Parts: sequence; structure tokens; C-alpha cells
Amino acid sequence: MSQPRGEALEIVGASKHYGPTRALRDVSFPVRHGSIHALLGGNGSGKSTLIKILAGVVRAEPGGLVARTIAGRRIETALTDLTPSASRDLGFRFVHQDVPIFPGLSITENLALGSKFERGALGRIRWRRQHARARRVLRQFGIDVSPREPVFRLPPAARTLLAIVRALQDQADPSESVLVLDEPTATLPRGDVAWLLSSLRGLADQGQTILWVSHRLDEVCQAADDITVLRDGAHVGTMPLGNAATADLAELIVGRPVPRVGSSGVQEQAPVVLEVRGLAAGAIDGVDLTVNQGEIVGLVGITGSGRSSLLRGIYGALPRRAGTVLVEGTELRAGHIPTARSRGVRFLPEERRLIGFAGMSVAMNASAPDVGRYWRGYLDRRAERRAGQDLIRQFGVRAPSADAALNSLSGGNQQKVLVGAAIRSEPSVLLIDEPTQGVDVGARADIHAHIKRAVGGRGCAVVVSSDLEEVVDLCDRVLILAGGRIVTQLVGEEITELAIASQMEQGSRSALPDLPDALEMRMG
Amino acid sequence: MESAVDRQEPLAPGSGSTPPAQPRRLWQMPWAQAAEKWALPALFVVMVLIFAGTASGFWTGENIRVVIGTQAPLVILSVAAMMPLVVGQFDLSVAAIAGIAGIALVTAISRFHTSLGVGILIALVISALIGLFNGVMVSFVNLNAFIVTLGVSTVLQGVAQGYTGGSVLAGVNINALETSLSGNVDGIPKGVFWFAPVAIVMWYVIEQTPFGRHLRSIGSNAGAARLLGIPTRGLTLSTFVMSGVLGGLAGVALVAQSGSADPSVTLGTDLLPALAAAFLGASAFFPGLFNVPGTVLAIFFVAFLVDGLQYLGAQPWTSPVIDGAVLVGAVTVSSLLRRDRARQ
Repeated sequence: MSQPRGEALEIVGASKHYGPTRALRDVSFPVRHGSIHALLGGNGSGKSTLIKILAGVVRAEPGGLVARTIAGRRIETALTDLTPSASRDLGFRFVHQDVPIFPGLSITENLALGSKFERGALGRIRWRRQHARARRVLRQFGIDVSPREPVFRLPPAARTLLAIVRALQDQADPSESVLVLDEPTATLPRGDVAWLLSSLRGLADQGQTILWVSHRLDEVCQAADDITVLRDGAHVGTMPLGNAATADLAELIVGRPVPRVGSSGVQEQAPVVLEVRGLAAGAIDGVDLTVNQGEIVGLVGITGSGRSSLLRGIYGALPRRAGTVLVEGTELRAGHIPTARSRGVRFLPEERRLIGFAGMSVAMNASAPDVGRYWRGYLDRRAERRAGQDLIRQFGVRAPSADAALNSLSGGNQQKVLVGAAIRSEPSVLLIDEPTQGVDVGARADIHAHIKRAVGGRGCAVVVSSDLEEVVDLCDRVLILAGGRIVTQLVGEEITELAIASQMEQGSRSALPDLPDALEMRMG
Repeated sequence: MESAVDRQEPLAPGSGSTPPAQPRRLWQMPWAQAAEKWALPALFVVMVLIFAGTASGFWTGENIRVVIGTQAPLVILSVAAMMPLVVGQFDLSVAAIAGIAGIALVTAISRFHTSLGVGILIALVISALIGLFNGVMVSFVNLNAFIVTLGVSTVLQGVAQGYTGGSVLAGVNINALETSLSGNVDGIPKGVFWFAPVAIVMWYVIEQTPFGRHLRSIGSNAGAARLLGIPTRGLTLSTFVMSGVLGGLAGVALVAQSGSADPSVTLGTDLLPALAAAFLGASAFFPGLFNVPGTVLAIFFVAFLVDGLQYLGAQPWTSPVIDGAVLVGAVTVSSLLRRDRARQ
């Protein structure tokens, strides 16, 4: 562990409001030199606003300042003076979740794109020098890989590390900069995370200061030196991590103690609609699941836990490695969407652009799931348009008419159309990934009501959501997934945001696999 | 929390923060949208009126009938080229298929002494098989349609040259075929009886059947279509088969028109006008979507434009200039319109 030598960074009195919403209220905290400092908080706590202020892309309110200590000299800058270039001059280096890495290019080229190309006569690139320079940078960061390797050959965690290296490559000394990481592990497989965290530890030990935004508390407990917690825009506290456990952090973030919960039996009075036995597909590895009539089951878990794979596996959008899926007692053909649909299974993927037909009208999008029902030797466009208008009215879609092209609507309204189209068909099994992502609060309540109503008859729903409030509002039963399996189940009164959050953390922790051999071989 | 389900009354429109959306009728459609829909037909009418006023000899029944009647093979060819475009694929081999079909037809009758009907059948079956090959390569082997059909087209050119030695094959015993396309019936050019059934059938297939709607879905978002359980591969394949058969039919029409099979048809001089019409047609009636009525209109738009200009003294070389300009212009206009709409 590094021996901190004073502060590398101090933020004093950072405030920001958006209209009537206060995103940040007078937040002040120091960051020790050479430490990994985790910045924690729930959605809307102000983490990202703070990061954006430091990056100079969001302007803070007057009064706050940021102090950087570089080579023993303290430089104070008013937060209002931060621009992207001023932020860079102060040594802030940012690596975001979606790493802008070019997989088809070599490591050398990726590094050069973040810095400069060695040019020769006629502007040609002097490749030999360029590779030598890349090799030097890689060695400096302790990475043993040929710079000529194309980046797509690297495992995901190594690409993230490459982005970090690219951000830091131009500094002579680690104390020059503060590396700001925004959820760097969110899209990584679990096994890669441990490797990346140990790389970060290595950087910190060399004196690199790292400010790390994360919502994965187990990772924070593994790797952070200090933590700062924000809640509703206010500073809750900054402290050394010490021996804090995930439950302690969850309590700090949410502001209330986390109750202890256990799993209980399933309600079994209603007939079974969906039965999944030993399903293995995508990230899912052996899941048993029974959903009764009228039931809404929530699936939660971190990215990579297999929650989306489970929906796709049931629907047939992913090839099935093993297991059976039964709807109302009839077995579904593996990997065959039409049979699933003919049994009334409907699926809405997380990314709506995957199911919308952009240039086609609202009415056509609404009828797309079963356009055959408007066919009477010809397509009954009048009936189709009427149904489109009904959908617009029912779901409060803002659209000039049912003839308007889908992509002429705003994102939230497109979402309402697509969710509406899936729900309206009275599905037996409704599989929805993030039902209300990106829709406004009013529409959200409407969509919830419609899901409940759709399930009210003879159907059931399986809902994936990372919005715990939504899960609590909507679900009769919540399954926590980790590492491709269901680890816990919460029923009825047990379903609270705190219970889900703490179970998620425990689950993901227990499912942490070992560092893959392949990673070690490739990266030395 | 009081959820909307607990309330007894039906969900009020936009009970959230959104105001109620009033469905509009056609006549309330924003004028820009209507303008987009009817711009090409309006331009067509204006153009014809201008030529009628300025070019003497243009506005005569005989000239109008000749222009309409002679476009039959090209209309069929452009509907053929349009079919794969509906699912977002290109078929650059339709003109070559038309040439091969013509050669097959004339050969079957003159060398193997088949009846006219059997000759046409053979020509269409060969065309369908070539389309099938294209379709399999594109949708099941996942190759780029551009490359596959360009390659097939080039192979067919070579085969046509090799078989004919580059010379035109004169048709024997095809009088019935020739008379079916020349002249008029009750003042209607017979060419209309060739292309109108094709256009109507394909319009029906695309606009009035779930099958056609599925094709549209694939063209709009293939991934989404797959998630809805639409058999995207099979349907994409089918558009190439339809394209092949229609290309072959265009070839038969060309034989009917000229009384012979010209191997130079395979070189694809008709390909560009056919594609240009499909793209120009996508800017009319159903803006942004490839559609049959628009394509047919576009063929006649270009045909009357060239004809009128030639009455005004333009040289024959203006025809390819217009074809090319129309293609690029149509693609530009329709993509600008689309961008505009998405920005709203």
C-alpha cells in the first residue's frame, strides 16, 4: 500500500443547480496523493456533476475552488475558471466507461491517437520510432505486450488499461496528474475486474492519484484507500476505507441501516405460466425459474450477471446450451423466436433501437409484432391507423399522428410506442429489459400500470431493471442474479431497495471468479 | 403511491406530464410532409405542361403513346431492381439477367424449337435460378450483395459474349410476342399491358400483404425484424428470386420490343436508369420508402424529360447525363428529407 504524502487535490465548496434541482451543495473534500479515492453515491447524488465540473464541461456556481498540489506547490483555481483545457493543464485525466479505443488498430496507433504521431519527410509516419515510443510507454506502466498487437486481441480489461495508459502517457512523473475513472469496470467481466484493480493498485503505488467513481461496493472494498460519499448533492463524509464492509457503505450511501433479510417460499396458488429448467444460454448457466399467473418477477444483478441473457434465452434470441423452457406446459423450441411468439411470449430488449423501425410510421411500429391481424386480403390500413391512434392516446405519446415516422418522435415517446406495442398484444409471458429507461416520471407510472394490467389477466412478466425503486414498485418477487445463476430470492414484504442492494453486493461477491488464465498469458 | 391501476376510470390520455396528442387527419398533415409526398407528381405535371407549351410535336397522342409504350421493359426492370432495395440490399445483376433471359428465350425457340410459352418459361426459370444464387450468397453465406451481384453480373456478361460471339441473335417464330408489345389497343399502348400487371402485383405484394410489410421491416431494421421472429434470411432471399424473375421478364419484354436478343443488354446500360428510378421513386408517395407507384412515376418522369428535351433539340447523349444526375439528385434529396425529419 502506498504511503501518502499529503494532498494531491482538494475540492472546496463545489455547488451546482440545474433549474430548481440542486445537484451539488457546497461539497468539499481532499484527495491524498498516491491514493485510490472512491467517490460513492446513488443515482442523482451528484457524482457525475462533480466529475463534469472537474472536466470543465459543466460550469460550477461561483465561490468554489479546486486546489492541486504539483511537486510540492499548491495551485488554486476557481471552479468557475475550469474549461476542458484548463482542466487538462491542472493534470486531470479522464477515462470514461465507454472507452474510446479503436479495436482494429494496433496498440501503437491507439496510443498515438491520444498523443502524437512521429512524422518524417512528406508527413509520413515514422513507424519504427512510433513503435519504440509505444514500447517505452507500455514498459513504464509495466505492461508486457507487443505494441504491434491489434487491440481487439486484448481482453476487455486490458483495453480499459490501455485507455488509462493513453491518458497518462505524456506525463514525466505520476504526481503530475489526477486520474479520474468513471465506472471503469461497469462493462467488464468479473474476472477481468480483479486484474484491472490490481493494475490500478500498481499505479497508485507509483504515486498516481486516482479518483474513482463506482457503484460496485465490493470492488471499492477491495481496492480503495479512501472514500467520499455524496447523497442528494451533499457531502456525507470523506474517510479512510479501513475495514468497512459493503453493508456499511450501502448504509452510508442510502442513509439508513440495511435490514437483514432471508429468502422465503414462493406463492403457489396461481397456475404456472412460465417454467424454466436448467437454462444455460449466453451468460446464464443453469437457471431454474417458475412464474405463476399474474406474477411480476424482477431480475436484478450487476452488468454481466446474466439478467439480460436470461430474458433472451427464454425468448429464443440466444441459442440455448442446455435446459428447457415451458409456457403454459408447452415446451418452446430452443433458439426459435416464432414458437415463443406463437405461445404469447413478448420481449423488449434494453436498447430500444434494436426493436424500433425508425423510418416507419407509429402505426406500422405498433402493428409490427403481428401485422397479420390487419390482413383481410389487403392490409386494412384504416384499422391499423386506428390502433396506432389508440396506442398514442393510451400511452400518452406525443406524436402529431399515427402516420408520423417513429424517428420524428423524441426518445421517450419512441419508447412508449414500442413498450405499448409489446404490452397491448396481451402476452402470456412479457419479458422486459429496463421498461422505463429514459421516459419521464408520468409515463413511467403509466407504463408500470400497463404492465400490471397486462399481467392481470392470464399472463406474467419477467422484468430486468437496474432501477431498484422500479423493482420495488413493480415486482411481486425479486431474483438476484450473479455469475449466471440465481443467488437469492426476495418475496413480498422483503422487497426493499436496501435489501436488494445488499443482496446484490453479497451475490456478486460470492460469484467472483478467478483471474482467467488467458488474461495472464496475454498480458504477462 | 397511488398507481394508475387503482383508479377506476380508464387511463386519461397523457396522465403524466405529456399533454394529450390529438390524432390529425390527412388534410391537417403538416404541409411540408404533404409537399414531400406530392412533389414528384406535381413536378411531373408541371414538366409535361411546359413541354406541351414549348416543344412542338411533344403534346401529340402518338408521341405520348410511344413514350409510354416503349418504357415497358424499363419499368419492369426497375421494379425488379427495387425488390432487394426494399430489404436494404442491392441487386446490380438485374440488367445482366434480362440479357441472359432474352438470349435463353431466342435460343430455346430457334435452336430447340420449343413453343413460345415454353421458351418464356425456360427464360424465367433460368432468371429465377440466378436470383436464387444471389439470394443464397447474400442471406445465407452473408456476403456483401454489392460484390456478389456485381460478380454475377460480370460472369453473365462473359457468358453472353461467349455464347453469341457478340452478335445479336435474331428471333425466329416470335411474331406473337412482338405484336403483344407493339401498337395500341383502343388507344392504349400495348406496353401498358406488360408493365401495369407487374406493377400492380408487386404493389399489392409490398403494400397490401404482411409479407411485404415484413420486407419493409427488414429494410428498416433487420435486427428488430429478427427479434420479432420474422425469417429475415428467407425473406431477403425471396427478394433476390423476385428480382431475378422480374429481370428475366424485362428481358422477354426487350426481345418482344426489338425482335431479337442483344447480348449487349447484359452490359447493364439499363441498370442505372432502373436504379435511378427506384431511388427517385422513393421520394414520392411514401417518402423515404422504396415503393412501386413512385418507381413507375420516376421512369416516366425521366422518359418524358428526355423526350421533351430532345424535341427541343437536345442531343441523344443528354439521356445518360439525365439518368446519372437523377440518381445522384434523388438520393441527395431523399436523404436530406430523411435527416430533416429525424431532427424534428
